[in-house]
Amino acid sequence: MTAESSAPARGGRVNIAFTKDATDAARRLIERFTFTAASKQGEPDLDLVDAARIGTAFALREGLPLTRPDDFGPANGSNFGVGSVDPGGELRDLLQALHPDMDEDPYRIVETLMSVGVLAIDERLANSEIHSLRTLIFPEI
Amino acid sequence: MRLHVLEVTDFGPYRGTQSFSFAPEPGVELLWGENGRGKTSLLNALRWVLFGVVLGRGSSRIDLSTVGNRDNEDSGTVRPFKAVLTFSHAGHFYKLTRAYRDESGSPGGNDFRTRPILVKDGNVLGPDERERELATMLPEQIARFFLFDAELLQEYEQLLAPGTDAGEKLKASIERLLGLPVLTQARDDVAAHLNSARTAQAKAAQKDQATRALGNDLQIAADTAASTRINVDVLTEQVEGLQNDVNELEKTLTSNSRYKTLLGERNILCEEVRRRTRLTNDLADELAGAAGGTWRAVLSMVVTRELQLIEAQTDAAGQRLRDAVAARSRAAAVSSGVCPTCQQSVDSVAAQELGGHTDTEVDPDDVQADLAQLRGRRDVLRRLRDDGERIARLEDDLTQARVDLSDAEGQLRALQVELDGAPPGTAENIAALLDELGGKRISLDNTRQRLQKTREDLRRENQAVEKLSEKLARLGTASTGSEDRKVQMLVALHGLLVAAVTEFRDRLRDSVEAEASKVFRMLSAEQDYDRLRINDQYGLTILHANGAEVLNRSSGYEHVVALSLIAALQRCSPMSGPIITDSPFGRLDGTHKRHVLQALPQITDQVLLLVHDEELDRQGAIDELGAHLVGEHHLRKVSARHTAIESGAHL
Repeated sequence: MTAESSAPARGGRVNIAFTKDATDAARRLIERFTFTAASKQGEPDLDLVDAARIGTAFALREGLPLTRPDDFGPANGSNFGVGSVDPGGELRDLLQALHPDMDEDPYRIVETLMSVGVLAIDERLANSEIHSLRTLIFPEI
Repeated sequence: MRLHVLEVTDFGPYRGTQSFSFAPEPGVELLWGENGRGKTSLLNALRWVLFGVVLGRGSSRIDLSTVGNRDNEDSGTVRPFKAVLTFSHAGHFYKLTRAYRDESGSPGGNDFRTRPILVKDGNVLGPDERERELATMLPEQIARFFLFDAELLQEYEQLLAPGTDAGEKLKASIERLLGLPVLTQARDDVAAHLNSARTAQAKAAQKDQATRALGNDLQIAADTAASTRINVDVLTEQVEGLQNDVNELEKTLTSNSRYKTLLGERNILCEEVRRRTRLTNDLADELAGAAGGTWRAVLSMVVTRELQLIEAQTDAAGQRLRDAVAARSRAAAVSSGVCPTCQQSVDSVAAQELGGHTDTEVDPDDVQADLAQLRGRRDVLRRLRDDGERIARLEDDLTQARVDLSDAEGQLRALQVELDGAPPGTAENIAALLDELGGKRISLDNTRQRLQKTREDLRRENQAVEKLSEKLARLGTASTGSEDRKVQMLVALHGLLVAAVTEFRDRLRDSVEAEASKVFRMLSAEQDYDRLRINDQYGLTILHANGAEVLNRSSGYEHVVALSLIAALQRCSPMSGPIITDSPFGRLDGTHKRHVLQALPQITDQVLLLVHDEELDRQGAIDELGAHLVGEHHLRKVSARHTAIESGAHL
């Protein structure tokens, strides 16, 4: 973990968490994208923090609302320190650059987006719209 | 030699006693038989009765215990068999019988032995006389020029490559057929006498004070050469023994060739699987390392879009800032009467004109702040390092590597299933045979090198003996006079025979080349192929009319050339005999088949062709052979392991 000048702002959220459904979806996601022999023996190449970042990025790319939907439910799934998810503050800065008008704590928004993002990916994996990292990264292909 | 009747008893598919009568008049006979009916067995029956061998694929000898006719292929019971051949040669009538029978004396015994009997003009010959007669009439080494099949024809190609063992053996067989050994044996006998004479010369010289020292030197030099000569003989024998071992091992491996090939393929596939596994793991590790950046790659598209938007907004804000600054200057000029930019006074007309502009109130500082925010956002977005292409490429490569690995594993599994069907210990046996073969080949190479070096030593030592012997002769003392003369005479005789061997060999090659070229022109359908050229090994190459060599000739032409060589050898040889050949037309096209049929009656006066319908059109053969066709026979299937030999064509 690095502590840089653009580290997470003090006074904001310290921990963020998936919802329970999103935790399950994130687990399926990292299981789906396993590559090495070690990952097949229970040591995934990606971890839940990677899934959280991927979910957030996916939600941002797909233009999902930054606000929590009514059926969002409690964020009481797997939780992480903000410093783990965004050690250099890169994710927060990108979020703010993409949405300069947001008035909420950026990590609360990250917390929202990571859950809705992984759930959206989970759904597309289920119907094979996404079936590889390539189709996750380049949706038009 | 002319064959009259071949009688076989329980030989291969021929159950009971059956006989094949050759036509009494000169010409060509045809024996028709489908594949598997027993044509090769009939050829083998002739090999058996004449030479006591039965050949299988690759000219390997077939175990005699498997030759006898049996009701059941799997039966382990050894069955006796017999063949009797009546023939005439040089005005004598012969009856040769060779039987494979149990001599234990008890029913169901298992002491099988081969018993040959040769009757000449009604008298049974003793074993030594029998073998001598047979070796003179038709030695086994030259059997291939009389009894052959397509596979043996194919071997003649090896004569083109000097130095191959098979080529050397063929060359020796050819020279034997052509009668060269008469001269080479004489040359070697005289050389042996010469060595003895020089030893006697040395002994005589030692008795005289004047020549004693020279005599001693000659004796020592002669002893050294004799010892080296023994070494050469021993090493020659070792080379032959090792070569035989290598041949036998190769034959054994050939009989296991299917499993040997499978094992070889398995080893290659195992290595392939290991290599692909390594590649897959390496790619997986690399992808696992890169996949942490997937989130940036996912975000990349929206960041690029947003950057384009920000660039446009930045441009617009820049314009707004310039407009706002200009508006503020105009307002200051109107209100103060002085231009804030150039500090000149603004007259009333100009002030009225400037006041006519309806500027919306935009604060340049606000626009400046907007611009700063846009640039800040732009900088953040530009910092995103996207690895998407690399991640996607790695994933594609990994997927392909896994597919390739899975294919290789599948092939390996399939191969393993086949290998599992091999008898227990096959893999170990083959591995042991391959090890042994490798070892024998190394020993053979080493022994050959030693032999070559020892031969070189012997050449030098012989030269030394020769010089000393000449020196003694020049001294011309009374004590060595008679021995000197003997040596001189033997030296002259040896020189003559050496020259004779060379001369005879050259003449043979010339006449074989001329005869083979004549036959080749009869057989060849290609007008541009003019003649054949012979090499030191009796290998023949085809030449164009312009003298250029024909490269990469077809396998059909290999047979045409081989048939030309056999015909030439028959014509040049002091031995003559029948030609009996199994499936000789397999690789020939229609034109060449016709040409071969036309040529055969001119090669020798007794020819038997073992053919099947697919190989030779009967009507075409009758037309081509005309009056030269002197007999037809066919093989009739009675049951799977019972074939009957019948006269006439099977229609």
